[in-house]
Amino acid sequence: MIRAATRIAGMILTLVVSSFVIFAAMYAAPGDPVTFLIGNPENMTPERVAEVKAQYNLDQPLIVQYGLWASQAFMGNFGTSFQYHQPVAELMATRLPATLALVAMASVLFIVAGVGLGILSALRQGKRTDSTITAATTLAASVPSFVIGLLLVSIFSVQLGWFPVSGAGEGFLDRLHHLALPAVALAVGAVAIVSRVTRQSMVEQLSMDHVEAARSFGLAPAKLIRRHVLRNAWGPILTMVALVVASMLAGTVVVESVFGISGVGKLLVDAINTHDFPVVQAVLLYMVITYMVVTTLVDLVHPLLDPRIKAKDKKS
Amino acid sequence: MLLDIDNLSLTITTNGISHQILDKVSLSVDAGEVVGLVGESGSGKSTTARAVLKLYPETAAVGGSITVGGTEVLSASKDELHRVRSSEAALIHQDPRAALNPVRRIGDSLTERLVHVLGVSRADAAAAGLELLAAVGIRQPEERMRQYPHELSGGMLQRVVIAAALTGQPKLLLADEATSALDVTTQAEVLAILRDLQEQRGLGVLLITHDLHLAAAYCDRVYVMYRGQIVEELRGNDLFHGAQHEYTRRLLSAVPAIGHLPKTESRAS
Ligand SMILES: Nc1ncnc2c1ncn2[C@@H]1O[C@H](COP(=O)(O)OP(=O)(O)O)[C@@H](O)[C@H]1O
Ligand SMILES: [Mg+2]
Repeated sequence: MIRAATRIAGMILTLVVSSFVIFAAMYAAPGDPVTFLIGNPENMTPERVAEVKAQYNLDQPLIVQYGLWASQAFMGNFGTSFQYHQPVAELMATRLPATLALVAMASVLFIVAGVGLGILSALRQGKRTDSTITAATTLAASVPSFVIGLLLVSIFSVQLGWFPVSGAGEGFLDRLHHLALPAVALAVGAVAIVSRVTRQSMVEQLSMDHVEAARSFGLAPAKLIRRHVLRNAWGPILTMVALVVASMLAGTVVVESVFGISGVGKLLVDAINTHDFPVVQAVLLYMVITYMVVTTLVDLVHPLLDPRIKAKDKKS
Repeated sequence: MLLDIDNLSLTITTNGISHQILDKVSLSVDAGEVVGLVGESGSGKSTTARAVLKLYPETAAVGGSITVGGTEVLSASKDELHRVRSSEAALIHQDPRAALNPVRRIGDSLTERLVHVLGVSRADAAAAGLELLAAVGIRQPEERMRQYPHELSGGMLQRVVIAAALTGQPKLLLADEATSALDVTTQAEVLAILRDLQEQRGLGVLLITHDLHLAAAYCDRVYVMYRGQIVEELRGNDLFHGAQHEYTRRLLSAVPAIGHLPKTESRAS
């Protein structure tokens, strides 16, 4: 109970501090939003400036502006985009599905490939398969995702024509088709990290007494791995997968640009380039919140994987 | 003979360096007999016990023979080895907390051999498990079955591990320092239970220990191991007075004379 309360208080504090930093950073950013909002320099009359400032609360002190923004944001109102003259929440709602679908597909890919290769590596520990997997995944991870993206596009879209060149697609199957290459480009770098954590965690478990005890009474190798090694190795794997997913949710910019997907990442870049502050603020806040959601989910799942964690929490 | 180890040698090569861990070890355990294997840490006791179930690294070079209930283990087929491991001989590890999977319930670990190796139904395995828990003196066995290892004391866990070893109805128990991790009182209780079970079921027991008082009081015969070799074989009663080998005497002189042993009836014949 107390733990849950401190946890929630901590989350609120994180949210307040990070949202304030995000809001205040807009002030430190170069460029004057008023100039951008008025657009045509000929309209830059003092009256017009004052009018715009009042309309967007830019004449208020920083803390008051933050208060106004935060209380509105809390209600789900993130203001109006300077550029699109559209509510920010609506903009986000149109962009989010593509990004979430992209990250979901990439996650399935890197989890299956990473955990699979990690298991294989651990079982072939010290042998040729093991070192080949380590070398190949490390090499793949060292190639920037836009290079992988461009390679994939030129081979599978341009030359072979198997996949569309750009866009996120409509409807489930079309979306899968459109996002397949971008998801691969996004996933490749994560495979090395996840396979390494999986391998390490399994190797650690392989040396445990209960594994040998199970072998001593004749448990078949496949069951032994499933029930005593993999089952016990999930903790660190889950943590790493969650960290990677969280960073992907905030890091789709490059892949979205390469594949011309109008997702949240592209929205953020465009907003930064056009000084569209309300959008930038909302996207950054979305990133903070997704990170918090993912890490909280992980903390909730861990005790299900290892009953000892629950006991420790109760004691403390 | 239930267990017959004949001229067992075992060499492990790591990073190009060979270590001969066992050197022509010969020992035997008859049905219904409790045989001790003593020696200082690192002398090769665990390696010997594990070799009985063919639990050594693939890279180990092994010579000699090990026969369990008529089956030669080192050259056994997969099926024969599986039968020896699942229902002829059972190994009890030193540290019960480490020998049980921490993320599985006691009941699950206890019945794992029955359900996942011998193909017994879950219900039958649970019934057999409950019976065995009662036999090793655990009260409220239903409740214990649902608990996790971290919720039980070391003594309780050691009983669980002994019960688990008995699920396959083995004829031979290999108890590797099975009570060393326990405090003196709990150790006495667990040893008494083990003795009861051994007598009821006519088990052969290879009891590995570094506790010479325990070996002397508990075992019919005792083998003394030193640097991978059996240097002496004595009757349990003779251990403290009949030792011939210099190493055994040195081992004995290092033992403080304290009477902390459980009451077990004298096995002198
Ligand atoms: N897998 C292994 N690789 C290398 N050395 C080993 C291995 N297993 C055991 N040894 C070595 O063999 C010797 C005997 O170990 P062990 O049988 O565990 O002794 P004891 O049980 O009598 O303490 C020790 O020196 C130990 O380091
Ligand atoms: Mg040992």
